[in-house]
Amino acid sequence: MDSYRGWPAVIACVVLGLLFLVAAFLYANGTLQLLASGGHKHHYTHAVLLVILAVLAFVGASFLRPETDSI
Amino acid sequence: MAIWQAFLFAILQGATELFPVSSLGHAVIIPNLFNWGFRTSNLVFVPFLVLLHLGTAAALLFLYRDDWPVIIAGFFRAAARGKIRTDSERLAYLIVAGSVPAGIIGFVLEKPLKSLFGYPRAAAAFLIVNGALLFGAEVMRRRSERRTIATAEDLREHGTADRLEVESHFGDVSQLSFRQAFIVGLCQALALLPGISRSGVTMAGGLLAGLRHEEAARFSFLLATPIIFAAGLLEVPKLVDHPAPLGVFAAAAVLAGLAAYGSARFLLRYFRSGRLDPYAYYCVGLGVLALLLLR
Repeated sequence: MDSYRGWPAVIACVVLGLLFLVAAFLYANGTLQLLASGGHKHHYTHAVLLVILAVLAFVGASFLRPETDSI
Repeated sequence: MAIWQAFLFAILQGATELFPVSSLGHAVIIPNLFNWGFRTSNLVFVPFLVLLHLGTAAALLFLYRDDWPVIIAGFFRAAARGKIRTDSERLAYLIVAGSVPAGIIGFVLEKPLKSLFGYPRAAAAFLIVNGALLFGAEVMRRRSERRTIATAEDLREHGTADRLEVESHFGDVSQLSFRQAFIVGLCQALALLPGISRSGVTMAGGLLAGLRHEEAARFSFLLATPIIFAAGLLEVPKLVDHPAPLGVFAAAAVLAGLAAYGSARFLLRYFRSGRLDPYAYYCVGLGVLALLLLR
C-alpha cells in the first residue's frame, strides 16, 4: 500500500469518487439506464450502490495520502 | 402461501441461513418437494425471503452487539486518519474487502440469478456442488493440519480435547490479509446461486486462508450482516408493489431471527472443535434426493 501513496493516487481516487457520485445522481434522476432494467425510470438501487462506491473511493483517497512527519 | 407455511418457512430459513447448507437452496427445494402449492418463482417470494433475511441479520447484529459499534467506529477513525492502527479498524476493512465482491457481482447479475429460483433441480444440483466444496475445504484443511502440527497417527489417536489443540495452531481473523479477505468475499459471491451456502463457502474460504474453524464461522457471520441488510434494503420496498400479508411476513421475520440466533450460538460452540464434514454429507444427500424426486 505504501508504494502507491502520493498525491496522484489521491487525486485519481477523488476523481473516481466524484464520477461515481455523478453517475449515482444520473441513475436516481432516471437519465442513466446502463445495466438497468424496467425502461425509463429512477434507479435508486443503482444510485445507492454508486454512492457506496464513491464513499469507498474517498476512503481509499484518505489512505493514499502521503505520510507527513509529525513534530 | 398459508400462514403455517410462512411460519414454517421462516423457521427453516432462519435455522438454515447460518448453517453451511444453503438456506436459499432449502427455500427453493422444500416447497417444491412437499408440494406446498406456491411457486418459488412468484414475484412476492424474493421480497418475502429478504424480509426473513432481515430477521436473520437482526439476530446477527444482536449476537455481535458489542462488536459492531467498535467496527463501525473503527472504519471511520481509520478513514479519517488514513491509517489502520487497531485490530477493530483492521477488522472493519477486512469486512469491506470481503463484502465488495459479492455486493457488486450480486448487483450486476441480480436478474439472471433470480430466474434460477424457479428451478428447484438447479438448486438441488448446486446443493451437491456445495457439499463437494465443503468436503474439499476439509480435505485441504486436514492436509494443512498434518503439515503444520502433527503426524497422521497423532491426529487419529486424539479425541475432542486434542481437536482444540489442533485448532489452536491456526489463526484468528486479525491475521487475515486483505487479499485473503477479498478472496473470501469472492467465495461469498458464489452463494448468490441457490444451493450454494454463503456461510459454507465463506467458512471454506476462511479455512483455506488458515483460520480456526470458530474464527472462520465468526468472520462468515460478520460478513453476512452487511450483505444481508443491503439485499434487504434493496428488496423490501418491492413488497409494497405486490399484494402481500405484511403482518404475517413481519411475524415470520421475527421467527427467522430467533431461529438464526439459536443456530449461530450452536454453530460457534460446535466449530470450536467440529468440522464441516457432516454438513457436506447432508448437502450431497439432500441434493441427490431432491434430484431424484423433483421433476
